[in-house]
Amino acid sequence: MADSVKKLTKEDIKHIAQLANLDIDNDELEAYSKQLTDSLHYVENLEDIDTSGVPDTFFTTHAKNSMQEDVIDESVTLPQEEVLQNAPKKRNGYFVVKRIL
Amino acid sequence: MDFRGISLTELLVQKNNPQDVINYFYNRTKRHNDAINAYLYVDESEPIAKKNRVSSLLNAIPLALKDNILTKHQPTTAASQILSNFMSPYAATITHKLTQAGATILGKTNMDAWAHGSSTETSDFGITTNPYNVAFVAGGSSGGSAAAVAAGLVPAAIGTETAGSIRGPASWSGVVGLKPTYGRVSRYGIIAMGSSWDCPGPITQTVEDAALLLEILAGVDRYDATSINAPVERYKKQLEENKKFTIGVADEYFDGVDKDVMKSVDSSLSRLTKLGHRIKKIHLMHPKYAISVYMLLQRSEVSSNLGRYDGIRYGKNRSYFGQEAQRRIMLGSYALSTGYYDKYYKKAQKVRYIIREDFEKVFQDVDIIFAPTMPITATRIGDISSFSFYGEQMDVLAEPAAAAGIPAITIPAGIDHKGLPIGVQFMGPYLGESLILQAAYQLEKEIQFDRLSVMKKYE
Repeated sequence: MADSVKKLTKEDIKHIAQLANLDIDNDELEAYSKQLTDSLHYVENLEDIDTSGVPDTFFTTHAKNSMQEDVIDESVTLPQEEVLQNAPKKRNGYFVVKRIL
Repeated sequence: MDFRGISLTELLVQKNNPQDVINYFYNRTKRHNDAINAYLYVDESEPIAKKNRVSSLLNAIPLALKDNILTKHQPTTAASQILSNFMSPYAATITHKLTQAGATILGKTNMDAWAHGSSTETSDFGITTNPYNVAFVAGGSSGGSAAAVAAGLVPAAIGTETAGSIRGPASWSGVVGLKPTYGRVSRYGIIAMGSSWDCPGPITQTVEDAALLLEILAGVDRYDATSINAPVERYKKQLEENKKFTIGVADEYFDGVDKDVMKSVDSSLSRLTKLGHRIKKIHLMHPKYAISVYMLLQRSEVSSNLGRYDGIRYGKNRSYFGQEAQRRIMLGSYALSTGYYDKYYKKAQKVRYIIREDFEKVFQDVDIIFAPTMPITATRIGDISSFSFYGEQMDVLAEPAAAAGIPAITIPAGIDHKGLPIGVQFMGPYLGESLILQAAYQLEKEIQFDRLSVMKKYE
């Protein structure tokens, strides 16, 4: 069974880290490669369980849909300066981001 | 004035001068927090403020909140460097409910960074140590809340659980911990970790206190679409009903459980029989499958939830994530990526469904389920590295109920040969908080766990 699991190489880790916008040091790649591969081996036990009869949708509560009127609740709206209070860079009431184009 | 070991309920009955109570716990906290590092932040202004609504339900009694619960005038860090300077512009629904009920928020408690862990060793701001023996961990991720209550630095605290993070530290620190049904308590304003799992809940000295706080915390919230629209029961009053239950016990939950822990389990079972409950053998799916379900789904949800930390709107940039967060984000990103989604995420979701069905089937035959909370007692600081999948191994008996979204409560049931506390738990059906609270209340009276001795160490 375990043989069917892909080993996550250092290259794979680099790729995943890039997808997740994480900066991983080169000397950590080896450890991550081993740890994440170990995790994938562990979760192989799920293959023991026949899930063919299980529906595709699942949620933790028994609730079906949660609907409410689309109205503004003034008691929870925040003034602009409070929304921006934690931003490291702001200008004229806006968040400042790096140029992306 | 000495309020050591006086429960929240007893403090309310005593009708003390609120300022005396606040001063007592504030002073204890200032004196002893360095020894156990339970608090990340202690409010220096609140304790002497006159603004408390002293006539209301909680009579200004101080409580501590885990530091992933948003507070408006106190910092919230989730024990991560990324949020070390963060001040939330709004409060969590439960913070609001507690202050409306008259609580004084004395401070914010330590935790594993982002609640990723089971020992509070991954906090960016130091380890919380076990009040019983500071060479050991308090458990996690709500380690600060559990240690603060155990050492008597606060009468009660709030934690959050994704899969074991209330019950684990409560068990290892010798206090009561209640994980409600998923959705019973609003998640609005709790720093999201595993959104389909996260449950805030009380960590207290007594079952009665847990019932009292649950009544305040529970209820539907229009700002959490997953909160359950069902009436909040009179949990505290129901404790006196003295109901007799059919209690299920599954061998699958004794696999690899330590000898001392099993002794407490056995003596608890004898006490439950003596109390007139019926013990019934049942079979449940082996908890090891819940580990895999948790590992995949929680990581997937983490990779999504921690995506918002980009250093633009709040917090520092992503280079400040610790290794545990990095590992979880990467595994989650992988499990959700094209080509692996069906094999990992979707498969785990389906097994989660089967875990819930498995519980529902068993609850047709029994009212509640009894089991040890943790397979062993608290580990020594630093021992985390000698286990592969430390958190999963420690939380193995807590994870199935968390996966199914059902309620569970742990109470202290004994002390092992190292002098560390042992916890036992009851699991109940969907919205069956009242049943497990009642059973725990009855058992607690029989056990008469000594919670005072440990507090005497902190004078």
